[in-house]
Amino acid sequence: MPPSAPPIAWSAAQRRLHWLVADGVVAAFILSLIMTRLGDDQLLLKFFLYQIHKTLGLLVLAGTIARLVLLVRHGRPPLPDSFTPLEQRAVHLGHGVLYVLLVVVPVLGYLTNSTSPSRIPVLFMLVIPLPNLTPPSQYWNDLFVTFHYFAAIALVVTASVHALIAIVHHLRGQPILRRMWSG
Amino acid sequence: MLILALIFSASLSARPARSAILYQVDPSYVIIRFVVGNMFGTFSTTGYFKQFSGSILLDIDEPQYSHVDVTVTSASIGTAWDTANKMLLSAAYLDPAQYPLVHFVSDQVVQLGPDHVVLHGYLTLRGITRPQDLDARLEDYEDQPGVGPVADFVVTGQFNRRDFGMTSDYPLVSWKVSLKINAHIFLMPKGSNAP
Repeated sequence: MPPSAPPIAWSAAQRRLHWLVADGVVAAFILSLIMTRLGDDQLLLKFFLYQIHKTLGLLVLAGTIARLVLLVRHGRPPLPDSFTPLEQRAVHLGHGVLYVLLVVVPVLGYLTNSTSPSRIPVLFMLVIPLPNLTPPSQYWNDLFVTFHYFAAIALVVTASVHALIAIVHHLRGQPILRRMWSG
Repeated sequence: MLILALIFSASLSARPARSAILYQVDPSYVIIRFVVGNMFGTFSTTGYFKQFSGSILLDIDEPQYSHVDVTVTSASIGTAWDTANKMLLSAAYLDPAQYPLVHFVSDQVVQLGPDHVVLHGYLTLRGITRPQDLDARLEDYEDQPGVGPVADFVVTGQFNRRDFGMTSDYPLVSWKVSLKINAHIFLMPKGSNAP
């Protein structure tokens, strides 16, 4: 449970995990653009890029769960007083959407893999095979591919807006980006 | 891939000695399956051939006189995975445009046990013919009322795809290709004078 008085700053662990998850999302997104464009004449490279993408997705999921645990246990520093109540609510809503997408996108990715008729396993860190959770099904695979795709687009758009707002606030002299960067 | 080996050594009563019976291979009762390993065995891909025909000359009493000849339509290959299907139908693999048929013919049948023979024969794949052994076992035998004796054979074998000029995609696709054929054979041909 969050302590009765909110902390004055993000903890070091919260800051580190924030940027690790952010880096993971950016890297997994860039990889997805490359790997899906590779032809079948480059199957081996394609295989490795997909496996790295899957590993990144699982790291994002684990990092996000850890962040949610820390959020509950440690709480979060309050927003600057300059934020109106409406803005505060919008910020919390936006962050809530981000947390949900950070969990949903990797889970949909895992289900995409599990339902794939290819039966290619998730090789975490390229070597640790993880189990498929479902039998193969072209029908469900097509659905999960679509859900994963649109959820990922939503995540990238939301995260970009999040970053843009942080930068704008930073340029206006508010410390929210700095306190996530250096505490 | 592609064979059917049906050599059957159990004695069937009321059959004339040294009678070899010719059976036609019925694709409804035969499954021709192959398996390749992927990425050093972290996963595998299984596929099937859907169109094939052939004959099995089955000599009950003297299996060495038996003979198997099966022809498979190479374009009828299929897996559950589209990418694999495209690969298998490409010039790097079965290349059906160039080589429409896969063929196995036995040359010599050697009995290894009461329900176990090895078929020494020749496999032709992508226009390349090489010696190929297949192991055939009688897994089940049942005399079904109104149908007559029915035998289930399991035939296994393996080859190296490099030997047939399929050299792409290692280690994504293993060199070794395993074959497994299940054949459900009605030993009493229709219209025969059942004892």
